[in-house]
Amino acid sequence: MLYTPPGDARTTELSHYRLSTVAMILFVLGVALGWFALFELNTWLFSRIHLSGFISWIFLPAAIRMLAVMVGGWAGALGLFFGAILTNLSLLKYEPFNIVILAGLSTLGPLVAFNLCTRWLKLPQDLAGLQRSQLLVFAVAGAIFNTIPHNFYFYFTGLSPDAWSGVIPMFVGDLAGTLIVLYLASVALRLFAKERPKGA
Amino acid sequence: MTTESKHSLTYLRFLNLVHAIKQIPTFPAMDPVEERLLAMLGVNWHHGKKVSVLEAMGLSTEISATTAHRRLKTLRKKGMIDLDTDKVDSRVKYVVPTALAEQYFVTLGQAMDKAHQPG
Repeated sequence: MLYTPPGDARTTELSHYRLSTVAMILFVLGVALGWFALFELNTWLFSRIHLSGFISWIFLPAAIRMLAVMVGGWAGALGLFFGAILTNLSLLKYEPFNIVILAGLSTLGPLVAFNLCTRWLKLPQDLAGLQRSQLLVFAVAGAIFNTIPHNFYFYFTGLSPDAWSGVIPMFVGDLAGTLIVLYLASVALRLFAKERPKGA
Repeated sequence: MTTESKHSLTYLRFLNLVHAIKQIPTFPAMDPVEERLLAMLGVNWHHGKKVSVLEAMGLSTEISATTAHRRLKTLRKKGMIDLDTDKVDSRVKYVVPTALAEQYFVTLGQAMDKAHQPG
């Protein structure tokens, strides 16, 4: 076994690299599982207001879509892709092409929305100075860039009879889902911040 | 080093996002004494009565004046009440509801109505 003295530059660099890679893999897995869990929860809670397996008047996973890309960029998008593959598998068991393309659309939409919004709002790379009102801009843009390509794809592949009937429900569902999760997250953060000193 | 910087950026984004999410308005968490005091104030406001700080401190026999005064301060900090100075006597201050408190009563009322509905 090779002995490497503590503080060796190469060891430190290597451990940083390994830790970062592990953190990145965990992040991707976390996003994928978060997507899957919220998708299942959404189906369980709101199956009555589902128009189809892909369209619902409230779609909670839309929040993960936005938050994952805002925090992790491409890593978040990769997590979304795997998560969407998982959920699409249960909806389109024998259509691998549709499964992959729809997962790709779920991934690319929020990436485009995020890049456009950060440029339009002139936000820095680290999102410093991000305001609550700007979260709404990200949510609306995310919903638009998810809804339009999805509905076009549904129409061209015969999954939907037309390209517009699902637009409003999907847009409303994405926006409502994102706002609900953000509001609950805000409440949870306040409760957590309030209770933390007691436990400390 | 590039990898390390990239992950720092991810963490900074996460922190800034959490900060923005925390700014989303919600009803502030109140302890039972604050809720009781606000409810008693609400009854008086509903009857169109102006409640001075001194009166508010003696609204309940279950809550001591000192405790009530402390809770009035915390309720003000939480944006649930405000103080209006009397036009004639500037030493007298009235406790008035804020828009957030009014919304709080509306929300509670809606929840009660919903609970009363059968099925």
